[in-house]
Amino acid sequence: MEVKCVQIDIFVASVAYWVIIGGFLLVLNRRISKVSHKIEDVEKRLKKEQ
Amino acid sequence: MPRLPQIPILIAALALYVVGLYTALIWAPVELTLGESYRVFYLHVPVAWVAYLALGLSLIGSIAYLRTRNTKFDLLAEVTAVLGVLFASLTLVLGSIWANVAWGTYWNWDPRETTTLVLWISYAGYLALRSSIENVGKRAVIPAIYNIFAFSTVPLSYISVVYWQTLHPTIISGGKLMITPEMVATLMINLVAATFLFIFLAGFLYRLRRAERILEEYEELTWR
Repeated sequence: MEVKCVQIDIFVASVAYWVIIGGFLLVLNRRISKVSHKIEDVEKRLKKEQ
Repeated sequence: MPRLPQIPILIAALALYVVGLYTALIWAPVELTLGESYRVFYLHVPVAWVAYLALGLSLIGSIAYLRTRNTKFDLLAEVTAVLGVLFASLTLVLGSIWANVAWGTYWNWDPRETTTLVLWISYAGYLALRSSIENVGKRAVIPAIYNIFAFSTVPLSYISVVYWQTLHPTIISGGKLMITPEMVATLMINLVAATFLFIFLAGFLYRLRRAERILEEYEELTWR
């Protein structure tokens, strides 16, 4: 019984680990799409100026 | 920062994580004092190591920036501090889960817990300071000086188990390793996996921040 409880805690720890890393990657992903939109805008602006 | 082969590093990290999980949960023997609960150690110690490594690199970046005024070093200091806070958060969360199994409570103001929380607050302060300064020149210099003082919390956290009475377990006692060779091997696999994940994230975040900075500079120029 004790071993089962401990295994649940290890599972919770692993899930917490990947939730935090995954959350960080999601934030990075949002920032990448923001940057790529901005780059597209700059490219359009430069083409218009030419 | 040198251009790193990002995808092979990520694949190596994930492969090592799979092997690490198998060795941690199945292959490594049970620890006699802590029982099965000690297995969280194979997740907790590697993230703590990466947090210290990241903050050490951040200190190097800040000192190098103050000496050379090369913005690449400022970027390195910023990126590694972000990852240092991320991995210090993981250290605190995983440590609390382990503390609940081993001590029956998530938090009990143990010296290691307290000093690691102080470290986390110091570097959260560093990031807050960076984002609060609008002037580009000052945004690099003032946090770099702050970083040198904030780094004192890293050795403080590391040596807290030596100088204060603590329940926190240690793997080295009297110059001797207190774990079996199988446990050392398992720990090493997980340490390398976490280090590879850190290298991947650092390379990725560095390039992203560099692109953001170039865009900021471009927008400032066109605004004028």
